[in-house]
Amino acid sequence: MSLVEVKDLFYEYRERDENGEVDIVTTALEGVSVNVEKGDFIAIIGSNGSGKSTFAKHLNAILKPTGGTVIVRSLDTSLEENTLEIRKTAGMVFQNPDNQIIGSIIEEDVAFGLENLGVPTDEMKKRVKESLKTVGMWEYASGSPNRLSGGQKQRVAIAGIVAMKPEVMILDESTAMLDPRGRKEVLDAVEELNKEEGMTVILITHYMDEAARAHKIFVLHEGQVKMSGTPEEVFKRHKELKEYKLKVPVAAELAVRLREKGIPVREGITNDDELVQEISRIRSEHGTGI
Amino acid sequence: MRRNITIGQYYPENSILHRLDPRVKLLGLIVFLVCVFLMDSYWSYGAVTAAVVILVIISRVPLRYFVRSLKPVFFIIILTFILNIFFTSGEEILVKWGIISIYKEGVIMALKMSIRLIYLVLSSALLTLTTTPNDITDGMEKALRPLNKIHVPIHEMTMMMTIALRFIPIISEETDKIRKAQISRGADLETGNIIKRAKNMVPILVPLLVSSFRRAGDLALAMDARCYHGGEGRTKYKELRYGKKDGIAYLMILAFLAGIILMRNFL
Repeated sequence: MSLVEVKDLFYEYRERDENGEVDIVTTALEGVSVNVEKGDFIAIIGSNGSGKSTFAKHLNAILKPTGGTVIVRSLDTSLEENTLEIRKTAGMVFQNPDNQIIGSIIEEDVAFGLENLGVPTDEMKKRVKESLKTVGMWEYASGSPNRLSGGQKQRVAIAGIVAMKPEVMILDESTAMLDPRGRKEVLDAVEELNKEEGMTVILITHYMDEAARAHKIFVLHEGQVKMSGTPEEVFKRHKELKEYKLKVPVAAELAVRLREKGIPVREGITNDDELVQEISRIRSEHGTGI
Repeated sequence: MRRNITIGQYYPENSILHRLDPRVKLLGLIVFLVCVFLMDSYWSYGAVTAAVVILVIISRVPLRYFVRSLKPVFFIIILTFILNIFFTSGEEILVKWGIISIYKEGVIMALKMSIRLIYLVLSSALLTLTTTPNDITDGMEKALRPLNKIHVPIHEMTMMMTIALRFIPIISEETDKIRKAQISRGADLETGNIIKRAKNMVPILVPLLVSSFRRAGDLALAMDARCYHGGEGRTKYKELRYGKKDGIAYLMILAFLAGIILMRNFL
């Protein structure tokens, strides 16, 4: 049994006019099926309006499906009585770093979720310290979140989720408002969590280079899963991706094109470093003559 | 600049007053305010004055912070003084000038009222200078918790205060941004009379209000996602615990109150 099982998920947004009659129905998700195993690191990518955020909000019962089912650790999200247990299992980090920090002091904010769960004070202190250390923010613990950079704030938000010891962490465009450095900070922290602690990660993003870090990518377009596979498999189909308004990382596209020209670049290149290494390998093997 | 804004006027120090439990300080403030209104004899004025002086000294907060806290109420103090001095009648005339006459009782009354006002402000300043807003909120939550039994939503109220404290600097930063954005689009915020200037604030307030609602929505989602479900079954990260010094402070506060009441009745 998978940790997260999304089966044939439909979701409609209903806008009502002044009389409360349903006015406009927008279908955001049309039959999405995704399975996530324990320890996985998956990325859901899609351009604006692809339905990826709507999808994310189903995973911890913020939205309830119009059709189909979402099962998290064998709990059905459509049942009210499961909500709390599901939110304990699936922690979510949101987009805006300012709007998800509740405490005026960093350690108190990290403790917020634990306070809600009724964790005893001593245990809470231990967990807050551990999780702040995991994201490298322990030295700021007694400071105010207002003085942190965007990347640091998101790491605090991640610590707040880690402290609750969920089984899966969902990042709903958590890097969209950050500068490149902040994005790297956050992704490094997430990647480490996945590798070291075995945390299952679901990364929602529209940056392909972020998705490249995942084990598996799902491409969402107009509410449907159009492609899925390892980053290499997905990036190979860069022409198709362009139809979905998604851009493959330059290195990945370049690698594919070089191969098409007959240069023996290996498959599965997703970032700049790998490409540079590969090219210098080819040069040392074949000389500059090709 | 605005990032470092501090809410309230907390002065970081490590005096005994800073280290007291906020609940002790809250009760102390209430008792003190009562005492200020109970004092009538010169003895009691002396006792309260001595208490203020001692507390200010042991708080180790520089005197200019207390003076600064008096500034906003300076006008009210002067007004009270003038009203009392001119409109209190008595027997002993000190100055007579046309229809205006100043009595000795008037002068005494004016002094007493001004002193009371000054002490009111100073004692509240003692609390806010030595206690962070968060500690005050925590203290209130814990002290008022019994009211939960009669369905007063104490937890909800203090949670709102905590959130407000957290968002004041953020909103103030945002106000600054919107201001600059509007000025760069040619909004005139500096000239004109008060009414015109108030009207010119509209292009700042509307976007601010809209974004505050959005923030509130986001925050509610984030709180939900972190299993927030009200005050029931909640534990606290920083549980307030009384120490020995808090007990002693309580005793001193009660002794002080008893002393003032005795002075009122027997002196």
